[in-house]
Amino acid sequence: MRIFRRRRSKRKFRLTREGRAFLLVTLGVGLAAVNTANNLLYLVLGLLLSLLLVSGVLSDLALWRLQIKRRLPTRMFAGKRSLIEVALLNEKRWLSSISVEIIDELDGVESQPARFVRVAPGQTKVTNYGFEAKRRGTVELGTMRVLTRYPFGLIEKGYTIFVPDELIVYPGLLEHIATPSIRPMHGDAAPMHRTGRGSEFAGSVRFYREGDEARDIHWKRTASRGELVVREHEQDSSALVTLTVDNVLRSGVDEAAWRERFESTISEVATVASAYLAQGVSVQVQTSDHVSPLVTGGTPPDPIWRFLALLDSVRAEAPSRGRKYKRRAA
Amino acid sequence: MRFAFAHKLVAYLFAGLGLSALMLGTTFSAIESLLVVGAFVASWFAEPPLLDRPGYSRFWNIAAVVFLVIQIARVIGGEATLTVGVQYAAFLQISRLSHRKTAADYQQIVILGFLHLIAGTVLSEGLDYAVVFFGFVVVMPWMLALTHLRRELENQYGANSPMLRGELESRQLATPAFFGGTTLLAVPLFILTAAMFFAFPRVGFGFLSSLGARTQSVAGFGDDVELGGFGTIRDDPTVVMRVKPKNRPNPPQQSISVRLRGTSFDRYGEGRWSRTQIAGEELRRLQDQYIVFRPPRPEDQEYEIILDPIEEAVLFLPEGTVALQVPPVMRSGRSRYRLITHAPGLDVRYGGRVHGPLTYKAFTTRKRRGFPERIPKALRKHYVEIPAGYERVASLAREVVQGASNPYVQAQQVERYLRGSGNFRYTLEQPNTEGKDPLHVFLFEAKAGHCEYFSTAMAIMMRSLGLPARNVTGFLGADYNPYGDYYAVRNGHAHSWVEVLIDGRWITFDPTPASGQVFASPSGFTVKLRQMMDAMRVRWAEYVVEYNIRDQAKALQRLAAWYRSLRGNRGAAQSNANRDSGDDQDFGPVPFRPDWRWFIAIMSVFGAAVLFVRWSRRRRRQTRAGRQLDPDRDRAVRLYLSLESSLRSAGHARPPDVTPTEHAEELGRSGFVAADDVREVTSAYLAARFGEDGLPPHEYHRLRHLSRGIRAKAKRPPIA
Repeated sequence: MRIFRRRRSKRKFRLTREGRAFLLVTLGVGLAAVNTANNLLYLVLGLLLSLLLVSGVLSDLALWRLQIKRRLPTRMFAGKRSLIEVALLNEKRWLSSISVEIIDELDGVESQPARFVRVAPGQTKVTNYGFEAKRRGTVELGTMRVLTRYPFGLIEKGYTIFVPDELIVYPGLLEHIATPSIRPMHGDAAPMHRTGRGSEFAGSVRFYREGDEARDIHWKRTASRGELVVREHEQDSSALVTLTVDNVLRSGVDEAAWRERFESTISEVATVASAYLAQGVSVQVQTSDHVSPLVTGGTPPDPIWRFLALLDSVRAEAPSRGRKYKRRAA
Repeated sequence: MRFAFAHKLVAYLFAGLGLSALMLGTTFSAIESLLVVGAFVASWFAEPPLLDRPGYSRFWNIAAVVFLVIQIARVIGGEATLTVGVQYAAFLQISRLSHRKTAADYQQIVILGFLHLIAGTVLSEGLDYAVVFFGFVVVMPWMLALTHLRRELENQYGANSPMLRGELESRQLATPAFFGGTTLLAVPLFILTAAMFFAFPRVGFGFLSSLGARTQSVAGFGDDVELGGFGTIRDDPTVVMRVKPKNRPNPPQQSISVRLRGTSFDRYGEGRWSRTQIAGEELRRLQDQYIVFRPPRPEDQEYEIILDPIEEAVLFLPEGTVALQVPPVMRSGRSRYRLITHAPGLDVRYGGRVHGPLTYKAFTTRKRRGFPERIPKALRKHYVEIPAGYERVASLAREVVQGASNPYVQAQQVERYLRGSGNFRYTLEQPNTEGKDPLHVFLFEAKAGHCEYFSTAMAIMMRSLGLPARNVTGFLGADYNPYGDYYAVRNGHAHSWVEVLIDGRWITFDPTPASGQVFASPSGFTVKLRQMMDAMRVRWAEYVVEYNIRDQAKALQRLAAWYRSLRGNRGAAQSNANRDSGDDQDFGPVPFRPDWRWFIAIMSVFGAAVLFVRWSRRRRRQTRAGRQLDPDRDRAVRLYLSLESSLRSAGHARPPDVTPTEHAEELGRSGFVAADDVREVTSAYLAARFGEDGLPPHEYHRLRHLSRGIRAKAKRPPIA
């Protein structure tokens, strides 16, 4: 069993397609030189081999003293392409790192390469690669391969670094969904005036918090204060919706069909929850064995999405009933 | 420089070098070369927006196929395959240059350029190839690196994206630093190439070798020679051979009057000398020594001769040559001795192909009493033959000898008559001989001519007196080349003289006046340049083209001896080296005399470069600051740059959108161990840079020391 994992692997190299062709030509020239005893062919052979050697050394230099950081997006939804940022710091004093490629590993699958054409000495550059998670849940990020084919594209040299991280993929949201209207139950009081996502601007502002929507930024105030400031809204009602998701997989059901239905239910619930929260309605999700945190209306739906992202099925005897909406007074 | 322009320029340099390698040989005629150069230049402009028609690329593809068919037809029609192939290779490169668009096209240009370089090894082995090769060593890293970058950019942005166009138009990649760095690559490349070249074991089979060296045509050594041929080459500065006399005086003479005999002619008629074709006999060989008259002796004078390939495979022999030493050809690691033949008329020729200058040694006796030669019967009569109508010449001969009966005296009197009587003048101008016999014109009308006229006149006059005589062609004189430490024999040194058979020995007489025998050594800048080039050509041939397993073994022995001498075992090394080398006189201890002048020159250049870099950095810094900084402000800027460098190393680089004060505060908030130092340096910088405070040198050094310490502080593990 491997107890200790090296943070950085040894350098490895392989010949690229051009490199293989180049090697083939070199061998051909070598054969021709031996066959003809033509010294000029020996000279060309020496040049070709020197190019390979120099190429190997230079690619090492390009990979020397690099620091790599990965920046994950704050939200990622299943079935939707997101960008993962990679920052590269060239710590060398004199030499630029040219043509460096970083390939990430997400759940054991290699990502698209993040390419850096030139990073000057002492500079940090940020680039990104696109990633689309097929399913909700967690995605494990592990090793990152740092590669270069610089300077001649003949040799690909690289090493891997172990940068463990975890990314939570929220359920995919549906584009169009009707949210059942909320009617106050008997005995409800008049709407309480509290801040939250509603239709009217309450006139007050507060500092930006993660998850706030960009459209709520009050640019004038932001400019005058020098820090991001967002508008506060008045919450329309004090209603609360509990969304129930049946996550019990009963015996005797077609599991594949059930799972498909289960995933679509989760997407539906995630969409409905965000719609309610946007309307200022507080939302909570309940399953057979867990309850999500209560998210007050007007605030970002991330806790609900996170709960749904990690929700797993439970095996039981009785058949499932799908989802239902419950409504009660706040 | 814009990336796209830089790449195009480098691609043209690369392709141009490749095409030059193809055109080095004789496969291209002057017109074909002009066509290639014209198409090459035109292709520079053949790109959008100037030329962007649909079907343009297809036109070139079809043209390549059509041209291929034409070339195949030409081969079938009997045209040399190599010529046809080389022409097609040049066409392909022109075609590719004319419709290049993507990185893949540039890659093809690289491949074709490589192939041209390889083809060039077969077409030429001269110094011109060396120039092309070193050009490749410099340009190749540029070309490969730029093509690779273009490919990476295309992979990143897509072949037709506006982003790619933006990158290709940017000046961020093809910077002077990029070109400087890749140019410096030429140094390790060159060293590695040289090391590998000398290290590869030379065990080649020698099959399908190169086409042989390009030969030059020198008049006077073929089967016949027309009177008047030499005069035209008198001013030709082309070097034909180099002579290194052993034990030459030091300092060397500027020129020597060595007489190098080529061949002789026995028949004369209608103003033309010709030679009777008689098959030569193989010269007796002892190892690599060939006996012309007798084996060499220690008292013999030795000449090393480096002969450029000429059309006639003649070996030029210094006067009094008794033996030759011709190195064997190395093939498959084995020595194969050349066939050297000796035909009547002392016509010594070599067999086999030469790939570069042929180096051989001639041993000459110090006794100059002529040389005996067995004359075949068929030839004997030719040496006394006089064409009809030369009675006047015979009468003149009799008049000149004035009844002398001793053949040697007769010959001397004729020689003196032509050379020193003042009746005849040496000139390079050709007398008008239209409709007349040239010898009669020379002797009785013009009384002026060049060496051929004089030698012909004497030979015919001696024959008319009944003495066998022949006309000899060769070279007289050589000029010292200080760069190569040898005497160079130029085409202009070509000469003609007479050999008369007296008492069974052929004695040399030269009836040409002194003005036709002594030539002032040329001088001037162009001559020096030419001498330098010739010395380089000789070294290239010696160390590269002719390098073989024997030289390799010698070099290894020298290396081993040198290594042993380094370890203090010099005496043993010397003895071993001598033992290993056998009777090879070339081999000796490796001289290692460091030339301090070179060392000082290199160090001076290096020092000047360092000073220049420092000056330019300072200037750049001031330019960045937007004005000329006073010393305090300059120190402040340097101090903060040093701080930034330390912070970068510590992993806390200042983002570009954060001010120095904000960054210092941020570091303080984040608990950075050296936050106080950062704050102190930042405050001092701001006060000196933008405020009224000064930054005296001692304070600057203290703060700089502080800022350098940040790196170490940040790396030190925190104390628990």
